[in-house]
Amino acid sequence: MGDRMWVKNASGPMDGDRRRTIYLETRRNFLSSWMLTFDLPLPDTTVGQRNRSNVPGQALALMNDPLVQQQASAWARESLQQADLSARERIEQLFLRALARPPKSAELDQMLALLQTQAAARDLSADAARLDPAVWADACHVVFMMKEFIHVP
Amino acid sequence: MFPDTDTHRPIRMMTRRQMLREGSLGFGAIALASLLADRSQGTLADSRRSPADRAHLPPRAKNVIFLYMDGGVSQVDSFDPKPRLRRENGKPFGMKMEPTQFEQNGAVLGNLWDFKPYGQSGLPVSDLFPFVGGCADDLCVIRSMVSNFSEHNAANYFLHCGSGMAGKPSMGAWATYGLGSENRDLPGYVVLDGGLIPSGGVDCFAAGFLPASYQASLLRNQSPALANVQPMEAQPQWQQNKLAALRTLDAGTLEDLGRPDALEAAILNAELAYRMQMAVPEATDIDGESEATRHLYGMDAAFEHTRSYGRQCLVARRLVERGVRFIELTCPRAHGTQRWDAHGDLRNNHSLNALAIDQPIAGLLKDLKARGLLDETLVIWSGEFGRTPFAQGSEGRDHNPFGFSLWLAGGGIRGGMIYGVTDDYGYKAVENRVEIHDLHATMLHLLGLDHERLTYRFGGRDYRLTDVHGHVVKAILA
Repeated sequence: MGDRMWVKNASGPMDGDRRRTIYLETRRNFLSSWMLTFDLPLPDTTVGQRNRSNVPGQALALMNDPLVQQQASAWARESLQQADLSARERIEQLFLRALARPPKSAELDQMLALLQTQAAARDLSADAARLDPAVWADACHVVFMMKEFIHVP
Repeated sequence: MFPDTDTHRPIRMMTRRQMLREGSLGFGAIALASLLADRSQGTLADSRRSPADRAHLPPRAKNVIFLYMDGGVSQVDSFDPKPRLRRENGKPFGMKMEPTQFEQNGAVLGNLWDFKPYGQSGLPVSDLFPFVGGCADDLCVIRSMVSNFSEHNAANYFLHCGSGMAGKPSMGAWATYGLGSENRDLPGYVVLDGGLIPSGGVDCFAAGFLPASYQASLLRNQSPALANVQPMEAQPQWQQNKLAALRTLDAGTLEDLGRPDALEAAILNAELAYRMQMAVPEATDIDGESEATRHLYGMDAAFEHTRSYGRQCLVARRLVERGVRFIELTCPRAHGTQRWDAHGDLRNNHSLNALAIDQPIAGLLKDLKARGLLDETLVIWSGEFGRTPFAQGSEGRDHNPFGFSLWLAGGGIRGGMIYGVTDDYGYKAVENRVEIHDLHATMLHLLGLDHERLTYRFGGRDYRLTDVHGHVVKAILA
């Protein structure tokens, strides 16, 4: 993230403080590698049609780019502010926000199993894991990586 | 909160667009959608068959390295000597001039570099390429290439994809579609980005209407070669747990949506991405290469672009060793962003570009040969067109698609030979014209693929890389 101009400019917190952008300042010699991975058109001129590439680099970005991991952590922390939600309810909320639909029961089971696995991997008790930001960040990261999140219109 | 969540979804989940499309076209469209879904599965299953099962002919080469000469090299200054040019230097050009890009056509411009015969074959190569000259007996120079386009974008699409318009699959995509990849941890089609992306953009490396997974993966010429190959999790197991859950979730989505091709490709890409975390750093890490090898590739040269292109060539050899099917190298910024496109200042432009690539390419050919890999690797050196034998301005040359030179080496190619002839000025091919379609047909032939049988049904007809054209140039086969 250190090479990204909007960080250098200190234009806002990592999670954007819930701000979204339509027009973003762009410098031609300082393009976001993250956006380029997802077919940012070169800004020298207008483009009639955007490239829509589908390459392993995009999966790698979703797996390992610090931006994705930080956003997953931010999303988890925000969700955990509602401390009274059950794990099941929290997963339903994450799916609704990311995919505009509730999880199917098989998906719910899968996510609950993941929470257990990641808690055990960190030697956390079930109770400690219920509100653990790292465990929930993993869950949020998985939702970001779901093909439905990126590829389904 | 949602007592019976499954009742919220139809059995087969549809996107808004699918619902509109299929709803408006009725049951025929639904049947068609399922047919298409079946076919796309077939296609992807096909790609997992072994190359030997898929070849139409006994293959002469397993891999292709395409050394793309961005912008167009002057044939009369490199591989096609024309004594008449110096004799008539500065005099009016003696043939009808076709329209050129800039229409600033001047007089005859004599070749700026001398030619020498090299090797036992006596193949003439100009002083731009003394190192490549040293490999003359492995080269087959075609002097009678023609292209249909005299402008970069269209000519690049044509050279790469067999069509002058964007949107068709690149030859690397066709080769990988035809034969699959021999390495399940690396993409089958890799572009090593030297700094200059061809005019026309990454559409030159596109999968077009082929399944999206055949698109090239662009690797940077630095370490790490690909962004984000480094896992962020403190423990590898933590990442593996996440990806295991993801795999199950995505498999469900895929079934719900009727296995759309793009989604299946994205899932395959994610699997590949996981394995690439190990494979890419390993393949592109040249720390283990000996001093002698680095020297061979010019990695200790004074000119930084020689060193960087040397690294690309060395990585290309390592990818060939690992079974990557098709590797394209793009050019370094040896003369700023001017490519080989010497509309002026030909001397400086071609000197710098040649200095960057000459030693590395010769190193690549020698190294492949020493390791017994040249026999199974087809090396193609070409730009999208050549340059005019008459001047643009005082010391430039404009685009010339009517006759230009390229060379091939390696798998199944006769070395030390010249094929085709241009006129006395080196302007137009006059004997044994070779079209870009013929180059493609010959390349596929060497890979064991019949260009007339390597087809993909799209838009109601079977498409080929060579469209309805193309002849294998048998005379250059070993």
